[in-house]
Order: sequence, then C-alpha cells, then structure tokens
Amino acid sequence: MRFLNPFFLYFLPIAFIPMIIYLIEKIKRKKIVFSSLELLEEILKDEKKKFQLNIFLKQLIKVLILALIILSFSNPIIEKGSDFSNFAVVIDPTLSMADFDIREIINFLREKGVKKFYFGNKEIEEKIIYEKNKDLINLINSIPENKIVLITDGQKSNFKNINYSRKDLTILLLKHTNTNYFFKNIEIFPEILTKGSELYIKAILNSKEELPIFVYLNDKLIYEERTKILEKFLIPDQSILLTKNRLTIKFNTNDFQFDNEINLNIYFMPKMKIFMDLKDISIKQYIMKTMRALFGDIEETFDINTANIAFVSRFDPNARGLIYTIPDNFENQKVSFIAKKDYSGDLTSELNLKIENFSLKSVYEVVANIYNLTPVVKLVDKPVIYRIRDNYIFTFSIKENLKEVSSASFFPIFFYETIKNFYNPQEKHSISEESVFEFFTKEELKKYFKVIEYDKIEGSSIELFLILLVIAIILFLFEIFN
Amino acid sequence: MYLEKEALDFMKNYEINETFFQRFSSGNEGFFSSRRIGNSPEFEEYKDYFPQDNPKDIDWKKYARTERLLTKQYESYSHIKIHFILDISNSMNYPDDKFFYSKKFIALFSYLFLKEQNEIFLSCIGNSFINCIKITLDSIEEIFSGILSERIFNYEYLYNIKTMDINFLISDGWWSKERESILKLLFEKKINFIHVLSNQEINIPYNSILVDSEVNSEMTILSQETIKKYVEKIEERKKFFYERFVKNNLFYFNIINNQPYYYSLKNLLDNLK
Repeated sequence: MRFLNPFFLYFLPIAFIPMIIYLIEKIKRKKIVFSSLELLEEILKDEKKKFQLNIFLKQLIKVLILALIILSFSNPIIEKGSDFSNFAVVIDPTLSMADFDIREIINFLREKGVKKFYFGNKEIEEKIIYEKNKDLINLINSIPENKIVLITDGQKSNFKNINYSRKDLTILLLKHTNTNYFFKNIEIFPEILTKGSELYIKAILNSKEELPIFVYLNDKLIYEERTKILEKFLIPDQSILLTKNRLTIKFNTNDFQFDNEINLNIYFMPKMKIFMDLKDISIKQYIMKTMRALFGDIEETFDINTANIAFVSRFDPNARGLIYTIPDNFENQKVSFIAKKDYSGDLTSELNLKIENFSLKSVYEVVANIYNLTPVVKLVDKPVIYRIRDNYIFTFSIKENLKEVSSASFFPIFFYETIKNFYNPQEKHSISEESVFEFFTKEELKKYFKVIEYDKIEGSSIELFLILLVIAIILFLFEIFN
Repeated sequence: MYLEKEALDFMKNYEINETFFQRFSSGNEGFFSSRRIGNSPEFEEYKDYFPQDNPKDIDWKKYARTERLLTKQYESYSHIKIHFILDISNSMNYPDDKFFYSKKFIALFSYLFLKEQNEIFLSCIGNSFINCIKITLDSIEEIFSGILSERIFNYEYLYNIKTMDINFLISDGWWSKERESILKLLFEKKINFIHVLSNQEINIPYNSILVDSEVNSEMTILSQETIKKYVEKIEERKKFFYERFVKNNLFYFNIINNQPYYYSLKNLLDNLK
C-alpha cells in the first residue's frame, strides 16, 4: 500500500489526542468518598446489559476513527502486481510530455524492478529536455529491446506506423489534465509582401486570459505584448529578407507546450512581375487591379520567363511559375455561383511556395447555364475568373452570411486557407481524454496494443478511500449509540 | 452554645401548634397517652372506659344518666413524648457532612418541643445502639456534641426501639438490600422518616473516582449520561419513600443540606401546617 497524498500523514498524531486527553483526565481525577454507590451500581448494571464498552476501548475507537479519516485523506492505494521488471521503458521525448512529473513515474517503475530506461531512443540522462516535432514512432522502432513499455500521452503520434512485429509493446498512457492554450484562429494577409505593404496578422487565443505574446521575424523579436488577441502591425523594413522570411508567433505558459508556437513563411518581393497573355483589356484591368490590391507595387512584364505570375488564355504545361489560364470566351458566359467541393493537389512556384497535399476549401466555381441553382454567395463586384489546372476560380468581393470574407481576389482566400491548413488549431479547451489522439482514438489504441492507463495502474485508490471512510463512520455511529 | 444564636432567633416566635400534633394523631390508636398529664386540661369529649384508664376520670354523673362508664377526654399538647432516631452510620458523613447537619436539626427541633413542655428522647443506630437518652434543655449541648458516627447502620437495632408518641428516623436512606426490611419495621413501629440528603449527593462531581463510605468499593463516573440517570433515580427514590410512608399514614420529609438547618426545620413545620 502507498499513499498518494502522504502530506496528510503528518496529521496522524492528531488521532491520539482523545487518548491523551483521557490519560490527562485520569491523572487529574480525584478520589471522593461518597455516601453510597448503591444507585450508581444499579445504573451501571443496567447499562452493562446494553453491551457497555470499556472506557479505554472507547478512547481507542475514537483514535481509530480519527486515524482512519486522516489515512483516507492520504489517499492510500493498493498496488496491483503489474510486472514491468523484464521490460525496457521508453519515455516519449516530445514536448507535450513536459506536462508530467516524469521523474516520479521513473522512480515508481524503478521500485517495480525496471532497470532500463530510454528517453526517446537514447538512454535517460540526468537532465530531461523535451523536443518538439520528434517522431516518436521512428524512435520506438529503433529501440533494440523487444519488450517495451512506452510512457506517452499519445499526442500527435501515428501509432499506425509502428512496427507491428513488436507484439510486446505496452503503452503506459498518461492523461493530461492541464488547460491547453493555443491560437484558436490565425489570419495572415498578404503572404507575399512587397515594398511598403502592410502585414496583417490576427491571432486569437482560446483563453480569455491575457498572455505575453512574442512575434519573431527570422528569430529577431519584433513585437511583444500581453494580450489575448494579436492584431495588425507593420513589419519593419530593415528586418525583412528578400524572398523567404520566417515569422514565429509564440507565448509563454506552463501548459501543454506543443501548441505554444507557430511558424509561418512570409515571402517578400520588391516588385511583383505579372505576365498577361490576354486579349480582353477589361480582364487585364481587373487582374492588374487585383494584383495591385494584393502586392502593392506591381509591374507588367511581356516576357513570361521573367514573370512571377502569368495569366494566359492557353495553358502551357511546360511553363514555369504560377500560371493561370483564362478562357477566351469568358465574357460571353452566363454564370451562376455555387460553392464548390474541396480542391486538393500540389502547387509550386518560383517564389519557393511549395504546398504539398494542399486542400482548398470554399473555392467558388462558375457553373455555366445552371439557373435553377440557388446562389450561396452574394456577388458584389463583377468577377474576374481564373482557371487553375482544370478548375475555374474567380476573384470577387462577397459577403457570406453577411460577414465579409474577402475584399479582393481569390488570393487572400487562397492563402488564408493555405495557412489555416498549415497550422490547423483545433477547437479544444483542455487536453483531456480523446482530444490528443489524432490517429487512433483511445479505444482503437487499446485494440492494437496493451494499454495501461497510468492513474489506474495501482488499483482504485478511490475505493480504498471510501472503504476507510465508511469504516470510520460505522465506528462513529457505534460510539454514539453505545 | 450548641445551637447558634441565629438559629434560636430564627425560630424564636415559632411554636409547634395543634395542627402539628393533630397531623400525627390521626389514625393512630392510643396516641398521646401522656396528654392528660397537663396542668390545665381542656375538656374535649367522652370515651368508653378501659381498665388501663384512670378510674378518676370516670364521669359518674354521666354514668347515672346513661349507665355507661365514660371517661372525660382532655386535649393537651404538652408532655408528649417525641423520639428521634438518628442514623450515625459513616454514609452520613459523606460526601459532605449530613451527620453534623442532622444533629443540629434534631437539637433545634428538640428545643422547640422542650419549650412546649414535651419530652424528647434520642436513640442512635450505627454499629452500636444508643437507646432512648432523655434530652432536656440543659443537656442538649452535652448530648449532641458527644454523639460520634460509626461505620454501618445495623438495622436490627430497630427491633429494640421503644416507640413513643411521635417517632422520627433521621437518615440518608442508603440501606441497600435491607431497605424493605427496614421499611417494614418503620411502618410497624409507626416511625416517621426525615430523609437527609447532601448537595453533593445530588450533584455528583464529573470525572471523579467515587469511593463508597461504608463498603470501600470504587467507581469512576465519566459519562454525563450516567449522572443524569443518577439524578433521575434519586428523584424516583424520594418519590418511592414518600408514597410508601403516606400509604402507611406516616410522615416523610426530605431535607437537603444546601441551606441552614433551621431553614429546613421551618420548611418541615410549614409543610405540616
């Protein structure tokens, strides 16, 4: 038996107070010669018939009642014999594990006979440093021992990729109880900056609490404020690099730290060069207007090889760069607008913008001659329609459910969705139970592996607590009615 | 002086009146045999002559008219013989002094009777037996100062008690198993009971070891519940005595030493008015 709250054991001497009082009273007691004990003997004789307890025994029961109450508060637990002595223990080294007192768990397992401990795939050292973005599954696969107990919270680990030939893997699952802070919603616009353009960032914490938020550009602190909503600010020109920049937003808490930091890429172009192989002047004007709204300083180039973005009426599969095709007969089409299903695929450009497996939601497609479909978006401006691969995309200003989504071209939506996809905060308020399991639910995890929940490893402490309390109450009632 | 000045002053204007004696005469055959010895008897009523009566009391004129031998009855409350029987067992000394209190009580009571020309006798029952000492106004101090307590109350001496016109037993009533035998004797001998209790006897000190004054057994009282039951039992006991004595046309009175003995005596006399 162990005590989870041994602090309360310090109060155990309190249990002896009734006995001490009894002994002091006994010492202080005086002898008095009394006329006759005739009546008193008669009374005690009656009481003896009702199972009169010895006075000393009564004091002992009082001591026992107090001792049991104090012991129950110490939360005693009975250890059930989970035998890990022949196992190597692997501790998940990812950052989310910093939430737990891993030393206590290690000591507990040492007492149970475990000799070999790994932190990731390295032997454990004095100082434990957790790392983010570590691939736990690869680490496990590289452990030489076959009998492994993995101590993990299961967070963000794809157990589907584990080497299933290891049938002796036991997962000792830790349960998060902390509140998890994370950015609930992040918007960044535009992703490609040009000279003098303003970077707009909106990052909202999931908590009403204000936390110190830090913004770094290329590891240099450019912004610091205690807030719950990070809003628009200008990036100082001198700190921005040509082409790719790394923007880091983070805050300091002692919570589940995996989500405390996000990294975004910002692209800087001093001047955006646009190639337009289009006959229709009005479309060209729209494109120019849109591009200027997006990138500020733009320049039309007549050499497709020097362009950053090209708009063409005929798609050339060999062309480099980000190329959009516009149908020649675009202007004559009569269209209505409905929401299109999600798009996905790869997208590359010379701006080092490489997005794999990108998913583009809420992209709107022009569907010709289908008048009986109900529009879900309200058209404000005349659309400019683009085609990406085999799909049509258009620029517009819309209001969806009376909430403005965008005021310019598809790019804000496109980048917004891309960024959202890159960092996809989940709506969760605390790390509890299933919220950490991305690839398996906990129940599924139990199907494939032997899973022991750490807080249940030693049997039910609550039951023992209740048993002690019930005994104390029974003794108390016995004492009262005697 | 054995009786304090306050006690005598307190009872100075108090006389034992006719009501008192009438209370003890009712239903008591042959009562007040000594009454006729009075100096100025008042004629009260006639009664049939019995051989033990004095022939001088026969009213011959009445005999001539009725042909019955009738004697004249006189009501006089002097020269009545009053007998105090004092329990001098050790229990009367504890937990506080009931013995001393009782002696003073009897002495003052006797003083009142002696003032009225009555005759007072004192017997004491303990291990030994002191039988019928006659008390006079002059001998009060000598007699009562000389009485000492003894260990137990040997009730068998009650068999030897010579009863008088009015008899009082002054005791704390701790008679244990002999209680019924003692009561039987008291009822037979027409002995009234003045039940003396002490204040501490009613209010037992909590958390103490009690030692029986007569048999030396010990008992520790720790429960307030026991004390409460004890007080209830004391009341039951007083009620029991009262009912038994009243049923036998006898007088029962309980006095407690939490007030001066002359107050207790006055209460007793007032109770008999």
